[in-house]
Amino acid sequence: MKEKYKEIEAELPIFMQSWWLNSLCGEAWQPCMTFDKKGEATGAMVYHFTSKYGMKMILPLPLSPASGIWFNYPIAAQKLHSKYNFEIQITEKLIAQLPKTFLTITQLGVNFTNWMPFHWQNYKQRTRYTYILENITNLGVVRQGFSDSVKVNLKKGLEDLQVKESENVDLLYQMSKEAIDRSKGKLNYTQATLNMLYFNIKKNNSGQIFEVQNTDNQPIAIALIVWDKQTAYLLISGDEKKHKSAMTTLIWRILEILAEKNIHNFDFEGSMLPHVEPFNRSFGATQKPYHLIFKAKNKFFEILFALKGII
Amino acid sequence: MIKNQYSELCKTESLPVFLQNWWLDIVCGANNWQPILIFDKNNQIIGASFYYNKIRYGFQTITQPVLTPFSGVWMRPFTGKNERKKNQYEAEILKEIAENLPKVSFFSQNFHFSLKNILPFHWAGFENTLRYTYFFENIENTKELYQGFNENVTRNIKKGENLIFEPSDDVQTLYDLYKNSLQHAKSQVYFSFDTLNLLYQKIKENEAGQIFQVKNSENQVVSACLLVWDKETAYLLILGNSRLHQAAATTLIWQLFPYLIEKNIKNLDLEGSMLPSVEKFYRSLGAERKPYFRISKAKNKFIETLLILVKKSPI
Repeated sequence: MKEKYKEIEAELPIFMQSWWLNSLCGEAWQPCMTFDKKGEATGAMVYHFTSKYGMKMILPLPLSPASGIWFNYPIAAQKLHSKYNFEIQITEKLIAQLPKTFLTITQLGVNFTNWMPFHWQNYKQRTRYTYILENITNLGVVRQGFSDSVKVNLKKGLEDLQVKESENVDLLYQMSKEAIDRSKGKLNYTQATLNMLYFNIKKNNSGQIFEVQNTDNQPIAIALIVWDKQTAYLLISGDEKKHKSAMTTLIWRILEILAEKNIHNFDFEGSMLPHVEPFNRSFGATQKPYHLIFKAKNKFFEILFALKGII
Repeated sequence: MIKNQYSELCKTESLPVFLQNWWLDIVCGANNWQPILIFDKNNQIIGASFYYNKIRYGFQTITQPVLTPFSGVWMRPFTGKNERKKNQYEAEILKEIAENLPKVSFFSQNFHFSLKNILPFHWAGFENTLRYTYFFENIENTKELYQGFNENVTRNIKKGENLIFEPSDDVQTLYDLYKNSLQHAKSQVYFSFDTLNLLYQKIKENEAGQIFQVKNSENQVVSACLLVWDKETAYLLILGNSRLHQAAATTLIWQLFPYLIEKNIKNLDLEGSMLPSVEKFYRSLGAERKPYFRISKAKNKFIETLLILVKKSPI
């Protein structure tokens, strides 16, 4: 199946590329695919399998936001109900290919709009959000959409701060860890994983680290941006709390670079944390829902995982 | 006092039919629901919602009333143009409503699909899941609608040309047909005939709906529905169909469109179901699928565990 999968990869978002998946979990991933009568691929989805407490599970990969299901719509699917029918048929076939596990959790992205076929197979769903700035190639309009405080911070930042391309993965890891510690979260990846991933990101021309330096050339904010044809993602970021304009300036410079590359959307990457949403909104980003879909082997395990706070 | 204010709001603003006080008096019982009102600095009501108290298995719960697809929140329309400020305004109202809900063992409520941002509820410890309805927006002419149907639907409409479509006030027949339909789909009716009958009298009193039915050549009712409406939208609340007449339900819905156009009601909400067989029928009509939220909260892990066990948990 992985051979067949390689043939359609060019169409898929970055988080579904095999080099991406290999960097993060080696061979512990599988594609599910559907084909039409002529053998042409009609749909694809990937999953990452692992073992926890000795139990087989399908879990989201760290550093990989909602990926989704890829649909290769037939030309005939013009009417709304034909489109819906097609999506449901494909989704049902893909679900059927998922192995039985003690727990399956999958994140399906903003282009996936119908989770009903999962519901019919006794999965459950919760909505999570990400924030996307659309049509960033038109920077003037984007800047007009900034809130007053972003505008003020940006003006200040552009005078005092410098944004540079960087290859400093150590610093990226350290600063993002500090930021996560502050919000009492926990990093779910190691520095070694990040090193490996970044190496492959560069090899595939799919991303860059950027850092912000103050007048003393000290780094005060850092971010890893990755991209595919359509969208760039703010995958990891970290900043010193006291420099309000640092992250704003960083994002603005990144938008400029992305606009030059003719990338249309900037995804701030999902978070449900109360302080993150106003920050993303202040850039004029739009809230977009994605799906967290899960299923435990039976009620006993569902209760167990619910009590442990996993689902 | 607060109920009077809520009733007044129902008269002066266009709240959805499912949030009207007369509706809630029937589906919850007059003493079982409480309004929540949110005021701005000038003491003007900017947000309204309600909750329905019910004792289930000895636990205090807040739940979705029968015959009521969504409850949710009414918000006074935001007057500015700034999208960000509008979001803030709405989030603030939702936050206050979430905070004003009494703490019960289990909470579950459906929101209208116009509510897109449930973060304020998430922050207040509520979980969510998405459900779907099928929705016809801006119904203007039947020709366009006809083109959107799939072949089965158009075939059924042709087959049903001899059926007689008419308004009716026969609640009993509607109830019986509906019961049969649900049994066929391996589900059951969650409300009594008396509740439906009482509600229908109120619906008529408030000019907020009508039963329609189709009859075959032997004068038997083969399909019936209850349509309710507010200013802009009609809701297909109940649809009952005789198993033998596949074409009847299609004919019934098809005949509703001219009626709606004449009444100048723009949208038809099919109030879709997540039951596979029912969903498939609604999907074939070519309406748009709209996701809406069901919000829920269990008081503690014990209740959460119980809910998983009795499978009443929607999430």
